[in-house]
Amino acid sequence: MRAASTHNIPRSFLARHALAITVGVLLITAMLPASLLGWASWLGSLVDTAVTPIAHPVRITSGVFTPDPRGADPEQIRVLQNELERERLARLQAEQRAIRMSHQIAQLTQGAAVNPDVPVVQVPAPVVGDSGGLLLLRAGAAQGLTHDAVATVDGVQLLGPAQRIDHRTTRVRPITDRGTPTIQAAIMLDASASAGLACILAPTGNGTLRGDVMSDDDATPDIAEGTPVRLLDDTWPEHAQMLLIGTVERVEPHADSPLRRVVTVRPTVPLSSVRDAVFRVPSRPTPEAASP
Amino acid sequence: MNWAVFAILSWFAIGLDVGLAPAISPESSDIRPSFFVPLLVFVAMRAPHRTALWAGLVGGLMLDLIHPLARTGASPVIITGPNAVGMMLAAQLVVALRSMVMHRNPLTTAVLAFITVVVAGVAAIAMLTIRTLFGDGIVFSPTHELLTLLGSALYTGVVALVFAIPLSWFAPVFSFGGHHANPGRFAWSHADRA
Repeated sequence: MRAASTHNIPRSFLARHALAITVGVLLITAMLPASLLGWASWLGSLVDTAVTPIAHPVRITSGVFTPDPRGADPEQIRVLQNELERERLARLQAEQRAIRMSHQIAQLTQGAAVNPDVPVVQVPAPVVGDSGGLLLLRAGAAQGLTHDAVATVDGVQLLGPAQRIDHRTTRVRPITDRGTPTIQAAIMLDASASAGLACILAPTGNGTLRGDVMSDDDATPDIAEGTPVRLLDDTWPEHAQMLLIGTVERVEPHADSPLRRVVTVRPTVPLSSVRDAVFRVPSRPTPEAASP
Repeated sequence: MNWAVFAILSWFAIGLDVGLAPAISPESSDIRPSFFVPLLVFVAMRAPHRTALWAGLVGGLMLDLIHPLARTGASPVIITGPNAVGMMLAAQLVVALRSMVMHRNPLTTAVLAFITVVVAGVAAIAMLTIRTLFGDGIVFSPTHELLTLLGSALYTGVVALVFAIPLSWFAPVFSFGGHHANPGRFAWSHADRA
């Protein structure tokens, strides 16, 4: 009888204090450094996978009642526009590659390393949901995504870098999200890749990006509203260069130095409400590819 | 309480939080309604005290796990605790208030859902603000989060108003049983008055 009572003491203690112990543990984990919270990502991927069968059909169904963020263009026109934009992207990337290769030739003569060109595989991924400002996409490591995968809309409009790749799902931070670091871009004053005007864009939090035009002087031509702006940033993977960031919505004089200009760029679709995305993934991982 | 029913409804509600809430939120804003909070309010109004707290804790933990926080220059991180503790505190508040409110009035669920989001949100924001003092690189602005919180709380109140009656249909399968909370002085049904 004594043995039974001593056996019951810890059980009753746990039963009475389980809630307090759990709260204590959660308060501690809430203050742990991020480097010690890797196990939570694993649990999070399990929950993501579990909610996908509910979230994805709901997302599709809600799309029937809400307007398509890509606009009301007839399907055929949109397909042709995307085709045109893909061709334009391919040409600009080829030109950019030629410019880079000329730099590499110059580097080679000085003994510098050369980065090989990277072929790209496109992986379609429906957007399942959105939480914490990060889009949840239904494609992951099982579909061949790697850390330098970049999400796009229709393969041409830059959506954002893959932030967390789980087995079946991936989190993507849209470039318009507040947490996105600044992006170097080129304002395409004409159809040539070498005619881009450099700018540094930061998300504003209202679906646009805003930033200073670099090397702005009197000789620089006017920037018209609607001018395309493309990614040209060494911190992004090579295969993402020249992807469309958006179009110039507004050009204003700089608040401190009126001779300089500030541009506001709006993506061609509201990035936080896209329904389908396409990942661009290098077909073989490159050690030098840096995630932004 | 029947935890299996709670688990299934929570799964459905969190699925709606991930899939539907972004689709019906105002464009270019972070305001999101919560579908889990009306469920938590429903449970906290009827379940035994400790069960209600556990429901808040477990549901909040699930919300923590689906809300990774962005970091500058690093992959997002999942922090377990802020929503879990916040939802538990909010459940405690609902338990404290439940003897003073009209259980069957959908407006009660709506108002309590608003309060729940505010209490849970303020607790979570406070914890994350303390955490940012250690310099973890989390992209987090308390002022912005608080403003968003108020919008989300109002929106959740509207959602709770819509879901209050459908949720009440599930009361029998929850088997709140003998631990059913005191219906309060404003209870409407004859059974409650008896």
